[in-house]
Amino acid sequence: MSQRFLFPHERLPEVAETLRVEVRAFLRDELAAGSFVPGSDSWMNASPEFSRKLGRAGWLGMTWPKQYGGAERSSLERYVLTEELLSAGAPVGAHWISDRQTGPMLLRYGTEEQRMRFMPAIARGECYFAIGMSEPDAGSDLAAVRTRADRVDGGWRLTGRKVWSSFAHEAHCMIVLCRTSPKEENRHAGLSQLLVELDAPGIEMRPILNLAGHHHFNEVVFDEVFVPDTRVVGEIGDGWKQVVSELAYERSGPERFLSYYPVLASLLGPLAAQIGQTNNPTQNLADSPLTTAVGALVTQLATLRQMSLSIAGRLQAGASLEIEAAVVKDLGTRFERLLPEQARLIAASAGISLHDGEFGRLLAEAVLRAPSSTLRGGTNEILRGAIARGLGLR
Amino acid sequence: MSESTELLLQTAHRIFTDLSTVECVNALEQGQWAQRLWDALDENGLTHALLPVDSGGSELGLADGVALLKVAGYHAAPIPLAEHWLAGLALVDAGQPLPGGALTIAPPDPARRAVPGTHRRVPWGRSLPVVALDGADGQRRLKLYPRAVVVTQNANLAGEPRDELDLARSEFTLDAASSIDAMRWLALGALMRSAQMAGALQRCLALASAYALERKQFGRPLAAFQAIQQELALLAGEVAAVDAAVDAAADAAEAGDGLFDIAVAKARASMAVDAATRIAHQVHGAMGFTYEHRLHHYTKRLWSWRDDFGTEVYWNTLLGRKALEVGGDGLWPFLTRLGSSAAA
Ligand SMILES: Cc1cc2nc3c(=O)[nH]c(=O)nc-3n(C[C@H](O)[C@H](O)[C@H](O)COP(=O)(O)OP(=O)(O)OC[C@H]3O[C@@H](n4cnc5c(N)ncnc54)[C@H](O)[C@@H]3O)c2cc1C
Repeated sequence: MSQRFLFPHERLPEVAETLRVEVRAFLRDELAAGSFVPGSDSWMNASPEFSRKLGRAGWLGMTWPKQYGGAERSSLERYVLTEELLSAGAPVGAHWISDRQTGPMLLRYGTEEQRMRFMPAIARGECYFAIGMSEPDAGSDLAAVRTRADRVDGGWRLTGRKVWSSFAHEAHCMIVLCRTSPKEENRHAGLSQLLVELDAPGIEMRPILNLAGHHHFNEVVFDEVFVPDTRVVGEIGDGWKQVVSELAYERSGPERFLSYYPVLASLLGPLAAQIGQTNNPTQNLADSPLTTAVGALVTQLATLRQMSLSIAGRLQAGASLEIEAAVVKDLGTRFERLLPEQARLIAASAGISLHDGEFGRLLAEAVLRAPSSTLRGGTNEILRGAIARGLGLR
Repeated sequence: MSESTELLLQTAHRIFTDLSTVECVNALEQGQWAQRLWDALDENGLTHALLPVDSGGSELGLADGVALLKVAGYHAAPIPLAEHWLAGLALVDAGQPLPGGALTIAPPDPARRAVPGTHRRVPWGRSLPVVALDGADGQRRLKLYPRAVVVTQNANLAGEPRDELDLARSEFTLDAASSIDAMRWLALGALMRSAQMAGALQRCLALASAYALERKQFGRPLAAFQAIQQELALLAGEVAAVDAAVDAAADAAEAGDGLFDIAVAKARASMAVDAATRIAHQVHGAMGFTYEHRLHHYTKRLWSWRDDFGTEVYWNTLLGRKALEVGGDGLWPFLTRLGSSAAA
């Protein structure tokens, strides 16, 4: 039997459960104080103020070494924090990228100076990063990026255009994937990652409104922007390897199946009320297909959570799990497309308004955002291509 | 997983590879009992693996037992290992000795109180002693029927015996108090069947991947076509999901009650069957639709096993009721207790 697609059970340690209690108390207080309104897809909602609060609680960069502003806690504790924040619909978008991706990347590939300069600020919830990978002609085919950095005295001169850069307008820096030597036979060679401070001269940023009319992502144009040698991340020419190594973290987290959880939670109250009102014993809603349909969502959610936890536990132990992470993201994001649609059908069948109250609001938000779930961070078709490679098919 | 468990699994893998052959699995469909296979498992201590040492077992935990049943499922083992274990666990729990040889159970039905009467779809009921739980009058009695009266011999889609028995007209040789209730028994059965399903699903993936690499059309292996790759990736996702749900449930059931974890596992396993078998068959083309090819050993079992010990509808309804009971604020705490040692 192949070991490839097995997901051994990971049991959370006591400290993680203790942290869970603290996070829940914090969220209760914040909700009571009106500091946020629970949202669908809340890791796409940015609130610098909320991020700073998390920073003050010691919950950003919490797995990093103390000298870089971290708390040296386990990745399973971070997992618990993350799932609690997402399930509560808290606005964690401002710091999301820097805490999830940039910090670990600097820890792994950055210089001491880069770590000291950026990581403590990230951990305080004060420094945000954007991802500069996609370009107009480089989406799924990321190695096709044309943004170019030319060698100059003391650094690099960066020219090119990035698109879909989430929250670049709120971010201080961007990690830009660019070409530092011409394309060769091996398309993955000659790519590098540069850390660009977004107030540098020569950068122009334009909003790209999403389908809801919101300013979420941006077009960022670099016109001969000077990037000093001290802002090269890792090795020149290793950009591809560095990008790929981050994928397991980026793809297997709870944000790949919990984005629309608040829709489900908000459905239960009205649904229970409807069921309570049905006195007709021949029409026992408690055992109706609607109850079963809710259960089916619970089953899928609980399973995805175990898969994601299994990866988190093994990543901590240093395993390399890109394929497993792709499995979680493919399954998880397909579930994210399913959840709002199922919730809508259940509600309509039970005679619950689709357009009013907390449920109506969260559902509307979810419907407008769900198409992005199976695109962002690598499309499902590309993920399944990676899984097929893991199966030895290609 | 301990080293001794690892060793046990290797032994099981070897025995099943040698003896759970195409011929042997096909022979079951003709009503043949796989004696050589059973004996080999028995000689290697696998039939009693879950039982306490003083009952002749090796006191394997549920999680290890589940790992073993996955191997059995991977080989479509044509024997009632799970049923035998369920019977053994119940007898040991009631402080009773085990009769020699293979045992089966009358599948527990929490909605039904009394044992007497007819029992339908009893695995291997025609040939094995039947252990049944009698919940009449609020008592819990465990009964052993060495030779139950068979009303009709039936089989599931895979040809595994599923017989109708009349226990009211059958003699029992044991009537002991039991602490296991029907729900726990059903749940343990569901967990074990889910484990077999996880193994069978793994094998579907292995067979389909191998076939896609070997079969050529349009001058290329099927595996070279993106449409095939995408489908097999979906199949891999289903296999992975079931494996994760089953492992989590086994751990939870070993640590405590784990009822809801098992509900998730059996529901998820049953939910995976349609997509997984559809893809496995589609990739195999007509060859997979033949009796000659092995694929049907797995797909027919999956189509049958998804109904055993509660369908996905049964378990999802249980979970849905729980979700409605705990409500919007309670659902998340409920979900996060799953898979942990804390009782859900
Ligand atoms: C909300 C949101 C936020 C984002 N934020 C960022 C960000 O901050 N920074 C950043 O760099 N990028 C970001 N992205 C971009 C994201 O990474 C890309 O959308 C993604 O990689 C796909 O690229 P594309 O949109 O160009 O689609 P394309 O690559 O053009 O693909 C279009 C369709 O064709 C399919 N397809 C493409 N190639 C193949 C193939 N070989 N086989 C089969 N099917 C194929 C795709 O799966 C997809 O269905 C964001 C996207 C979204 C939706």
